[in-house]
Amino acid sequence: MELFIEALTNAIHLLLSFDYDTYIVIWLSLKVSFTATLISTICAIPLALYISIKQFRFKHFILSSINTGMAMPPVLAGLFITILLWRNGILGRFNLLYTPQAIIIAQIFLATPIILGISISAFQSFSKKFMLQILGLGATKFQLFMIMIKESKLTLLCAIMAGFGAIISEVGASMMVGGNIKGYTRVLTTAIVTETGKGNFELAMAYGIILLILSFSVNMILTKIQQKNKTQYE
Amino acid sequence: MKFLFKGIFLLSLCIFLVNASVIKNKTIILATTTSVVDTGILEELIPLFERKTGYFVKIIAVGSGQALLLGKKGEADILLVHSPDEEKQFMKDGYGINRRFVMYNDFVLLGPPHDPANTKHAKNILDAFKKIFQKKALFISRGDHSGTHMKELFIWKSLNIDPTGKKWYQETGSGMGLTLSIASEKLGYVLSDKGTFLSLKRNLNLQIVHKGDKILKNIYHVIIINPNMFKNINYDGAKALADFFVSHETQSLIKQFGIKKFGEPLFKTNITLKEN
Amino acid sequence: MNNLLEGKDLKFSIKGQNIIDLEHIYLKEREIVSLIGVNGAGKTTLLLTLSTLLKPHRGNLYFKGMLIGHEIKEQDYRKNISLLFHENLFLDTSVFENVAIGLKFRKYPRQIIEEKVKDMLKLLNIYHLKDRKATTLSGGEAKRVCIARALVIEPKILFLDEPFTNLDTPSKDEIIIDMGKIVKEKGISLIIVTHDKYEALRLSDRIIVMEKGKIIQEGTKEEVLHYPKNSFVASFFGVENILEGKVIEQKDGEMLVDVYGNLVEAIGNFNKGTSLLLFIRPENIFLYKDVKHIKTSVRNHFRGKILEINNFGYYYRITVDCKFPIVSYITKSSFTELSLKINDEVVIGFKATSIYSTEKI
Repeated sequence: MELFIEALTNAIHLLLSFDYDTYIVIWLSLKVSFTATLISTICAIPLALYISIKQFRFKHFILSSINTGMAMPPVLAGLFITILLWRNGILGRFNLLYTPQAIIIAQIFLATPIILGISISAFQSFSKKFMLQILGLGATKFQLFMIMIKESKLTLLCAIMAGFGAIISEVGASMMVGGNIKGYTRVLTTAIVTETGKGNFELAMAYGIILLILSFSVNMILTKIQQKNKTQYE
Repeated sequence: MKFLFKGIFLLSLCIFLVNASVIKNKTIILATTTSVVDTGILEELIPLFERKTGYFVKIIAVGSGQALLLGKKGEADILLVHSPDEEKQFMKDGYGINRRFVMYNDFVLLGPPHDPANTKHAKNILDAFKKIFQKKALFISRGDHSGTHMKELFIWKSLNIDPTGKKWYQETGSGMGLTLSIASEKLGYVLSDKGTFLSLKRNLNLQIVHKGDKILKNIYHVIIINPNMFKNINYDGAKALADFFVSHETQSLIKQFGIKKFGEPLFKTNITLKEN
Repeated sequence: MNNLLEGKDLKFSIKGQNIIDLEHIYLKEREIVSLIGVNGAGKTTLLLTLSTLLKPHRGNLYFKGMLIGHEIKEQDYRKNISLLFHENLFLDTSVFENVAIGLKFRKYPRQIIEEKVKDMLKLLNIYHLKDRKATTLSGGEAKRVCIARALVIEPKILFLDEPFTNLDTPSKDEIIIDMGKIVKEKGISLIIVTHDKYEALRLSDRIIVMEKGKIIQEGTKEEVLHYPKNSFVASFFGVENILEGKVIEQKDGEMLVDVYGNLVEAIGNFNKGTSLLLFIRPENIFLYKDVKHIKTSVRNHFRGKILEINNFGYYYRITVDCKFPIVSYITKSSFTELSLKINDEVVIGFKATSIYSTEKI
């Protein structure tokens, strides 16, 4: 218990004193996870629209794969991407291993199935009649998609929050592909591992608390946006 | 319109890949052990090197065994490790060139305050281990093919004892710091490098129960990966870093590291020391 | 003069079965056509095909003579049409924004949208609902919003798929009248799919009857009613008598209506001077040899001559010319009893209560 309180005070102190090391770690975490979430969202949503509307063979297979991908263990994704990015690996020539970009790639790999899976179920809830009605009022396909996105805003924001939550808190992939290099690829989660490994439990806990505060703040903002739409026309 | 989105994505991907590859020649990948990194010595030395030369050193901290494996795949440019027997084989197989001594410190045997196996009265380290075995006292091992782990196994082998699988012998598969915490928590014996122990002493419920044997010398070498074996090795960078480690200025810095924090230096650099 | 919309050789099938298979269908400007048939006759499929929301396996569509897909793009054609389904499918937003959606798709400036939507909402008497969340409405109000949404874009053609089913009669009547006024004023052509004969008969200029994907009859209401191609069409309508009249007098729910110069007693509360359509089921037309035989409860009777006799097995269908055609169904035994022949002089009679009257649009 005292460890916890010490850690909490330590966390607040680190934040308020603008401790350089801490802020670098926070900045890296946010940079990497925001970028990965953004790219995943941009890829996943159009793909989700396509998958939910089109009829094609192996649809069940693809949907099952996506749902399985949602539960992909981060460390496995990390291992897979590491093998790809090794100097002698397929993408070795880009020298991406042990860079923040590598973490972003791995996190895109983790977040996309989550955002994709939830978005698909959101879009599948539109009846064929609804889509025909919208088209029948003169909408182009693109305008129809914009309507579908707008109408599913609540669920889509939930998907994005789920994706972000999964990657800001993962450590397996970040550790493997990032190398946990101080000031360069050390993010909050891998910093927690490092400090724990060294036995600096209060510092590790402090980082953990900071991670939770961060996660909570981002989710609060997103939730506010999500709930704002609900009460507009009561 | 979907096509437009996909297009933007591919474009950004290309930009960011190109961006990452530009710094190739200025980057050195140094594979080393967690025990060295955890002491904090690299955090002092490497920035000096980087400022002087403009190189960017990526320190990848893994167990010695894994570091050597990375070397064997050509995935690192330079190694700083402490597993002499395996290093010798590594050099013999041609993976590395130019192996040089950098520093050493001691391994120590740590144990709980009440020393259940009475190791304090052991004649030497082998005897201490034997006492632990006979008493079936709890022993915590790194279990991760690190230099420390290899040293520990060497000692058991010399006694013809195989402790694996026994109930009193537990392998953490983790770094030194965490292993020490576990040993402290569970009141077990553990072989550790002195540096990590000193760093964490105040949080640990362990004491040094045996030290000083020649066997317990923990020697670090730096090895440059053979550029003729693999393409993409940054030989110039690796050579510069290796030279840096063995240079007189760096060696003096190493000799003094730890005095401020712990009252005694963590590493020694007597170059004329013979390896075992 | 080209037809507004024309479909040739349209065919759509699922798993080898033809859902629609027709040679020719057309729609003129300012025309209201009803598409009638039982469930599964292919009406909705035809509607979706005509609005290009469903691609037929064969056939061509022409809008104002231009081949859709070649001389005019599908997307451009669709800018001239509007669609209204049986279900009220709303966006999760206000009534105003729902109605405005078609105009937004067509990229009208906001100011114009506001004007047009306001006007349409007022025409349909739902202006007071403009800020309500559309999904909270039901019944007649919801339907009015859908109609507003479909009409505000001033389409050339409006396709409706069973729009008024499940509405209670008073709401239905009012809505049909309000919508009818707007449609007539703006010159919008309608194709209404319905299985409600009364609906079709009130509004339509032409009726198309479908069965199993084919058109089995097409024509004005009189043609379809009085000259049904087969017993299916006849029995589908079940209403074979539509008379036109004008209310002369109305008091306490009882009316006196001038029908082709004759006085008819009916029930209802339409005001004096209103033009009416009176529907009478043929089962409710009684045949007598002589005026003497008429019961007192049968208030309306006319003399006439038998024009046609059709034997439909269990019943006979007798067409009588009373200066206007009247159709009566009588049982086989009655027929034998009366021993009727063509050109026989008979008296037909019907109760005031068997007349279903609505305002003529």
